[in-house]
Amino acid sequence: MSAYTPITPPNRINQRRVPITSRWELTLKALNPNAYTFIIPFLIIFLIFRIYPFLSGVYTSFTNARIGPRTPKFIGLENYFEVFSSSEVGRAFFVTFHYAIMVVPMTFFIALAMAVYVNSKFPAHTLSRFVFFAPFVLTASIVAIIWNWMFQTQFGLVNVTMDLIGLPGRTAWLRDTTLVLPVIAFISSWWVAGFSMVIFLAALQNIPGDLNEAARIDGANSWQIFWRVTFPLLLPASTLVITVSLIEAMRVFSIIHIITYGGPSDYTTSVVFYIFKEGFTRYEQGMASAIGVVLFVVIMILTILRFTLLRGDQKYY
Amino acid sequence: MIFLESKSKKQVIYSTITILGLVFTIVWFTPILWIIVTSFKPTGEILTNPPQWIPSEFTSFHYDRVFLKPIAQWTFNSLYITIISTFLTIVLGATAGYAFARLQFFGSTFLFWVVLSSFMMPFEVFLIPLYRMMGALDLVGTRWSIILPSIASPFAVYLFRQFFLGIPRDLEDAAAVDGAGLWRRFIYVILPLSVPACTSVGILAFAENFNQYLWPLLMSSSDTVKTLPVGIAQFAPSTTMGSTEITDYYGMGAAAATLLAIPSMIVFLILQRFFISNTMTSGMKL
Repeated sequence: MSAYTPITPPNRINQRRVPITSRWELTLKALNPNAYTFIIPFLIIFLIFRIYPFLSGVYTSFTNARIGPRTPKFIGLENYFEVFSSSEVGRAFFVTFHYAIMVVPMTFFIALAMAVYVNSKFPAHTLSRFVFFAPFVLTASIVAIIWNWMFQTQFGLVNVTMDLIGLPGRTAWLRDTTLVLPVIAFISSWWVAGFSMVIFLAALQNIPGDLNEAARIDGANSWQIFWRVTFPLLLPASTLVITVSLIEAMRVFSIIHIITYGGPSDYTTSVVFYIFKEGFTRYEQGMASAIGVVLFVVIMILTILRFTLLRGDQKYY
Repeated sequence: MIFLESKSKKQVIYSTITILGLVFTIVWFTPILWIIVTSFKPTGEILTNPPQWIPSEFTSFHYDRVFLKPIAQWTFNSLYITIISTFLTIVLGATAGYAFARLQFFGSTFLFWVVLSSFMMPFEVFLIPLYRMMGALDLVGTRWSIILPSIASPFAVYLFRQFFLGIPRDLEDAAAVDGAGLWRRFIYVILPLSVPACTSVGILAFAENFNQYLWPLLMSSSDTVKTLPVGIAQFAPSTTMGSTEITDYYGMGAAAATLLAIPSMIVFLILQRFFISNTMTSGMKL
């Protein structure tokens, strides 16, 4: 092998330089058949298991489909009239919005405080970071079992501890119609706050230190620095956290299904739980699909809102 | 003097926040700790007031009872479903992501737009059609009925596309000059550079598929396909149970929850850095 081997151009290059003349060849090049071998496996699965069911779901919402022998009949907007007039459905939406109004700010402020605390490097902050994020790695059924036991009326740790420090105990947290939804919202916050904390943490670490420095030299105290310098810079992260937790709140199902099963007397029947109940225990699939479509519209609005608000912040999407 | 005063005031604030933070950390972890303690207690010590933090003896009684249920089968199902779905999500996501990043083909813009807008479709909208479809395909009660709907992930495609766009084109051009075709370039040039993207998508897909609840719940009525989250949920005492039944269930529930919580947290502890950097990435997910 000599030190210098002249590179002989492979034939292919020459072949590629040959001008394409025939129409067929032009079409073939435009279609790029090779590219389709990359996209087709995904596309088949995507069309069968995502696009088709979606379109079919929209169609089903205009029919009176049921599980059973009845053939679905097209009934136009009837399901939608029922969605917007039925007090049960209205209540499910009310419960979901009520839940969202509680869980979103709760998660937001807890996560923000956690992130600032961890970022300020207080003693044992790595332990805190682990503990704050840990609930997020637990699956819904574990979270449900843990809090079911914590909030048990007679011997749950919450009531027993309240007894111990002399607070009026024996609250039936999960059976009281006014308490149950805030309790579920709290459980949810405990579960997911770690996720939002990490988003805030990443944003905090991107803030250049000289900004704080400059503010401090100008005589600002820590509190002022946080609200006047840091917080405005956290705005994109905050938008992300709020919109993501809003969308997640709209879809709340698993912990409700395991902890309360929609009860007591439907006070925790969220929209998705209602879809589940309508579609799989009452078998009214047309109606369930219609509610699904309404939920889709709500989530679509939230998603568009989120992308509009975050436009230009490439980092976040 | 003023300087000194403010310094000592600062120290007071500092130690107050430290103590509050530590207390908050302990409180935040208490529920997990309590379920672990409960799972090792003899039945008689579970329902106590005031709370008993250290059991008089550690018993495996509740674990033995949990193992009467087909936990091993559920674990196998969960791992089988999760590993296959994760692998297929990466394969489909990487190939489609490559097509969208590099190749011009008829309808590519439109298709990418469709994929992106499918972010907005919540799973709950197509729950019912999917259920009927699985019935028609005779897949209800099989593991594939849980795998198939989750593998065409628009998020994976998007992530891979963004990643591939960041790889310099020259590398591929060099391979092309040497006569490598599209697939050869993809496998030998692009994929070896894509380990970070594969890990990201892998971890996110693994977590998501493992934690699925609603769909496996509908698809797995028998223990032969039931996944761990759905199986474990059976140990949660329902509000309709009688009091003796409930007493039984708290010990078992605690044991079942601990069995799954401890491995989850250990995996998280080991992969903490990946988890945290990927959570940031997953911010864009629905």
